[in-house]
Amino acid sequence: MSDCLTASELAWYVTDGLSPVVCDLERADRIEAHAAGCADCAGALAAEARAELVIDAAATAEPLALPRRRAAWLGALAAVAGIVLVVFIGRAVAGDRPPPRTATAADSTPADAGIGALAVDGDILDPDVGTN
Amino acid sequence: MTRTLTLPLRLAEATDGADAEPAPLEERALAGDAAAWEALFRRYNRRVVLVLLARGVRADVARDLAQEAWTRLIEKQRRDQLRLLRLPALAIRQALFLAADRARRGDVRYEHVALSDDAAALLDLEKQLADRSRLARARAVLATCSDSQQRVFRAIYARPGATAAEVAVEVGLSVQRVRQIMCEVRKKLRAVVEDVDV
Repeated sequence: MSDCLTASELAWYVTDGLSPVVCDLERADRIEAHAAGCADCAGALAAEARAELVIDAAATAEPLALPRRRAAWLGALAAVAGIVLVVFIGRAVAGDRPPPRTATAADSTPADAGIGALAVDGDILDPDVGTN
Repeated sequence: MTRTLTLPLRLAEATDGADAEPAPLEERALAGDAAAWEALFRRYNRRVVLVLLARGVRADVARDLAQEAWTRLIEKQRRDQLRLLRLPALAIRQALFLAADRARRGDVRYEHVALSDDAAALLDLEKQLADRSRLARARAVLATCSDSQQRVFRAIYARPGATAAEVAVEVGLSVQRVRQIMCEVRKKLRAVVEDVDV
């Protein structure tokens, strides 16, 4: 038949043509009427409906699967980047920190004698500190 | 000219309880809430019609059968014969039952009706397997679409019954752009779920 339904008409019918509010009722009626009398188009419409059910299922079965997966990857990347950043900053801060000074007699006052004593205690763990 | 789908039955007014936490539509429908039935009908009727069309029922007859199926469900609820409302499965089953019944009377061409139970079961199983494979292909294609395409596509399909205009407002695009995106995405998907007859 020369005026057989086109692919876009079939697609329109199974989407907009079956929606609760059909804006182009004449078009829907014309498609239905044609499919009722044309076996080829009826078969094509049935195939389009089957495809639409699969598309519908693909869209609704896991509505958030892809964004969620992408979000999970982004989250993991952000976490790794955060850890690397924290380690880097930690090392940088530790590297910039001046080594504990060895208490000298000039520094020592009766008030901070205790602090000087702690620094000296620290030197026991690191024999290089305070030596040239 | 516009056709707006409404339930064929005149329903009772919605039950009270406006200030209570809104219950799921199915629960409200089971309690006789007319608005809930209307919302469920608008949400799922297209799926019911699609299943009938997919089985070879004529389009105009499929729409009539779907409406009749909803009417039967509401009547059952009114007679207190519905304990559980699992939709759209229940409406689809009811519509298929009506189609099979009409086919037995010779009113409807219904391609599976003439098969024996075993053959029908086998056919259904093969169809399910084919559908599963097509579903996987469709998902793979969907994953290749841009974020905005996916957003529009999911917004349309996640809310059955929503119009393109409503979705356009939701995603902040023009109606024309939403329609264009839907057309592009559906074209891609349609190509990979090309029917595999079993």
